[in-house]
Amino acid sequence: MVTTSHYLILGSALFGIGVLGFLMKRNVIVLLMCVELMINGAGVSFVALCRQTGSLEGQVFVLFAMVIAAVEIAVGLSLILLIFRNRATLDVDKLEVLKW
Amino acid sequence: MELIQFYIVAAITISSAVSVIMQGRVMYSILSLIVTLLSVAWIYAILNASFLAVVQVILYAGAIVVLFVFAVMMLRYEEIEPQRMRTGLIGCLGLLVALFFIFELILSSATGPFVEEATLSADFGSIKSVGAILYTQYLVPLELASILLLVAVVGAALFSKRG
Repeated sequence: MVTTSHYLILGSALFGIGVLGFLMKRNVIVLLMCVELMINGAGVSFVALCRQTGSLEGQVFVLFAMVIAAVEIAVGLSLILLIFRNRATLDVDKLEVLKW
Repeated sequence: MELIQFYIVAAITISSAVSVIMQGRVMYSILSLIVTLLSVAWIYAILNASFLAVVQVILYAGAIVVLFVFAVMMLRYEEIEPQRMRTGLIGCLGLLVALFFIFELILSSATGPFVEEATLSADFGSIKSVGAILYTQYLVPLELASILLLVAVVGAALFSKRG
């Protein structure tokens, strides 16, 4: 018997792997991919709870989250291209102009 | 049967997600990300969200991953510097924080008090029912989302032109 808890644990694990990668990796592109993992983990939890309660609001939320993710990736990748053109690196440790 | 299917899809999802953050090359990470996104679409299909499963395949595994691939192809990043994980004190600290976070999340979602499971109608999560709620109750957020997409496209074009 698969309960809602199973899916919530799966979503939490996906989110946690995203957090882990976000803290451990240095490449900006991979950091964006880890954000995608986190969004998907939250989405799995949303859809699981949405089936549990029988209301469709959770699925609408996941749909909007997908739109936000697409927007974020479009702007983020163009910013990354710009940074790479000016600084010739994507290592977040080397992008320290704003650090004091 | 349902349990076996769940464990198969969970194993694929988790292992490909771990592979995303363990790969040394960006392109391999992107390929692992495709597997993760498709298996999340499978989970949506299991959870009576057929419309979301289709959108996940089209929007995520289609559009967003193609954007990633384009970015990596335009950078030719692989030749310039290999990828490293964090090491040393900061790396250990990050690992510790993330593992604590995972542990806490899993603990709280395993023991939460839930409302009892609702009985679902036959067309729960179909394109008709989701569209009905999307175009009545959530009409204003939908229009705002479309404006947001437009602004993002214009902004991305502007950034890449100015560089």
